[in-house]
Amino acid sequence: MARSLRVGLVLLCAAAAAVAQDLVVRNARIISGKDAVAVRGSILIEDGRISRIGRVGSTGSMVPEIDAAGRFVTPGFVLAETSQGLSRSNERMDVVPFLSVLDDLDPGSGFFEDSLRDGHLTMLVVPGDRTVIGGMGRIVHAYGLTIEDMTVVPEPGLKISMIPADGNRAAHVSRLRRTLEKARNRLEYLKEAGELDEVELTGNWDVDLERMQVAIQERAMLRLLKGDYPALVSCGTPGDVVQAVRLGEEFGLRLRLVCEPTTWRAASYLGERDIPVILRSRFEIEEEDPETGEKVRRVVPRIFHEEGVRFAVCSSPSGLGRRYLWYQGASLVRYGIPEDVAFRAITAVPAELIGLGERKGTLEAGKDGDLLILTDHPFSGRAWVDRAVIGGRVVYRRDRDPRLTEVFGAGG
Amino acid sequence: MRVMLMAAAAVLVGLSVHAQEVQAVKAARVHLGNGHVLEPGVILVAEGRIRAVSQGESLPEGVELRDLGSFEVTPGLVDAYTHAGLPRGPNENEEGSEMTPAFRAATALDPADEELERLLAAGITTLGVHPGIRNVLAGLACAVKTAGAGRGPHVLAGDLALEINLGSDPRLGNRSPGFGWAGWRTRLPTSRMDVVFLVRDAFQDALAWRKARRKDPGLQPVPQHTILLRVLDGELPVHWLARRQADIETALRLAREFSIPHNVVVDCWEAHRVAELLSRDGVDVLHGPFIHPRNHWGGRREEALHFSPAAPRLLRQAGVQTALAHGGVERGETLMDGLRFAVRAGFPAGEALSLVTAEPARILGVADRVGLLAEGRDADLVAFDGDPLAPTSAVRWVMVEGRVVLEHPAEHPAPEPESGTEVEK
Repeated sequence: MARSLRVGLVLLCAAAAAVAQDLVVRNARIISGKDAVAVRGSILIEDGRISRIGRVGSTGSMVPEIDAAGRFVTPGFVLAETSQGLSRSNERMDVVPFLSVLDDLDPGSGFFEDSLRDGHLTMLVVPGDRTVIGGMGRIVHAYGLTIEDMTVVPEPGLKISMIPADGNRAAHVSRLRRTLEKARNRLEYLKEAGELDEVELTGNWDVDLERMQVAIQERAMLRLLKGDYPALVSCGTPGDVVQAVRLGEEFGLRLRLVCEPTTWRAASYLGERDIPVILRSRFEIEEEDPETGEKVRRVVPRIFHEEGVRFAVCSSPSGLGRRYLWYQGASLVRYGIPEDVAFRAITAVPAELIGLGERKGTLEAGKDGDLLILTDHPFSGRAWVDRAVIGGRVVYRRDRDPRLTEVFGAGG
Repeated sequence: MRVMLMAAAAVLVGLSVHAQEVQAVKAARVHLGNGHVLEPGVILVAEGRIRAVSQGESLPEGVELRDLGSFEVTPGLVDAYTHAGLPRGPNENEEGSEMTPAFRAATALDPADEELERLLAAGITTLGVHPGIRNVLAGLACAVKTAGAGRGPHVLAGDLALEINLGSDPRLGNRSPGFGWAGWRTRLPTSRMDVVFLVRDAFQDALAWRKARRKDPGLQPVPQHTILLRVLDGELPVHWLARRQADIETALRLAREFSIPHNVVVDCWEAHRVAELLSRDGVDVLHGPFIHPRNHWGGRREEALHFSPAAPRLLRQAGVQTALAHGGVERGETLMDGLRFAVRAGFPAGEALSLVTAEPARILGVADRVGLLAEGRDADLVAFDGDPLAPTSAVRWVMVEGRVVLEHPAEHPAPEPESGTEVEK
């Protein structure tokens, strides 16, 4: 009897990983992400979703309660693009749309542990840049025992890189174009063939492709052209940006652009078309005037901001401050970007650009119960993540983080 | 023509006399660099030096005022361990020999090195420029100003310390003889043991030379021995580059063996693990950048595994005099960023600025000139548009030796002139 009870408890705990929870956080200074103003209040999460912000009455003893007096509560930070958490970010072959990061994600990677500690709760993991078409990305929480536990969106988009690994842009774009053309032709053929052979099409292409016995290697591209998901396109030069937009228009692709700082000259082009972008982690670049030899320093996010382009910013583990999204946000303020734009660049805008605008990125009733309890204002430079919450469940506690104690000594 | 030239000369003289008049710099908060803050503060500057620093608003008569409004002023920052100003490659490391104690960074300085400009834009006005990491007895460090009144970057003081590199860096590029391979790179050191051997050998040679000199006063001095004897006599401190615990302990052991009076360990990421030993031996610490192991470009990545931004706090608690160094401006990240992380990891905010001003100036030996806003020091000032410790604050204005060398940095361009008149800040 006792043994079966214990077994039952173990199973219950394992199942709890996937179960949404209730939680109330009281007396916090809440920065909702709709703007960057801190407002005193409480948050009630029920069944994994925020049900109430502001005044929350008594919730009874069944709902776990956190008193956040003196601390700040913010949405979990959203990392719009990363290739971390994989053992290898790219394959040797460069046109591999049929691959997926699902097959390489390592839930035990230190990257996810660090992400929780730093407040990066949701991230879009994609293959790296050394590719033409790199494969399917995945949106995951930084918490979970298995990839299934961690997965938020299994098919958020297909990675395309405009950045040639060997520097030969013409050949690179040519390969991309040929692959897209081939897929488009195939799609046309299949549409006709499907009608000709009278295969019963459901309209769900995943099912239809199976029914038409289309090879697995082809399906990812066909579904991209069909518009099932966007292309996540990394761009290294202004020309890449223009090429990507044109290819998107030509082939009817949904696009998400990820821009290196060297694309800054395309800012007005993007601003005119109201195309938002994901900016990579490096904000400053130095360029040498080819004629005078004079070095000019540019602050890229500021240029995009001044051209009216909405942007999200990323972090990068290679960097002192740059590894933290909150530091990236503070840096934006240092460069003269308004605080609310800076805060939304690490919360609401990346959530929207990875397709999760309805669920994450701000603290609003109806959205996922993901939040951070910080010891100080996120842009103060002094803040530590005290608690991280995903779906109403506390997934990180600073006072139970053995690595922090080890690294920082007692009182760290 | 001659009249025109004389008139031009007269105008120039007139301008330079004007520059020597007394200026007053006023700011909402003035951080002196020793923990004291004046709110508001006024700094009187004359002839490139600070004449007086005072709290409050009152100004003496006939003084040109520079009102920095809500900005916060600190002393020009001091990065006491860097290789900036020594162009990459041959000028940074004399590869022909591992033992180059007479290599003087002061003579190899390239004032046109762009890194100096970047450092200036980050508010760093004084550097401790050290020879590179690839030699054992690497040479003599110097202090450099990243700008100057009427001139560019220049040496403030030469030959301030002997740099000795321990650990794995000095063996970079060297090979053990084997498989018939031979060349000028087949030389010591190829291991840590070799490095220690070479150091001891050098000091023992110097002592032997001194002994021989006593018997034969006509013996010719050898530069290497002269420098090492100055170290042994306490005239020249040693800066030991020692990152790991074992290397730091080696440095302490060598210092004790040869009774070297003045020692500083540099770039020492594991110093906080041997804080008691450093305190016992009275050794100062120039802590290196809090750099992620992935980015450690030096010898081996293991050396950076145990760095901790809490190190300055832990060292201070153990009674070790500590300063923070960063080395350069890596992709926009600077000495102040490092300081901000030290504060986040618990270093008291009220005393934090001294880690990058007064303390490194003292360790470098130029505390009489820089590192504090006090009477007699060089007028090196930096203005931030907020609390200097906040990551949201930018460097907006820099004065070196009484001359404003930076206004309106790239990210905060000058405001558009309104109706023809220049808005001066």
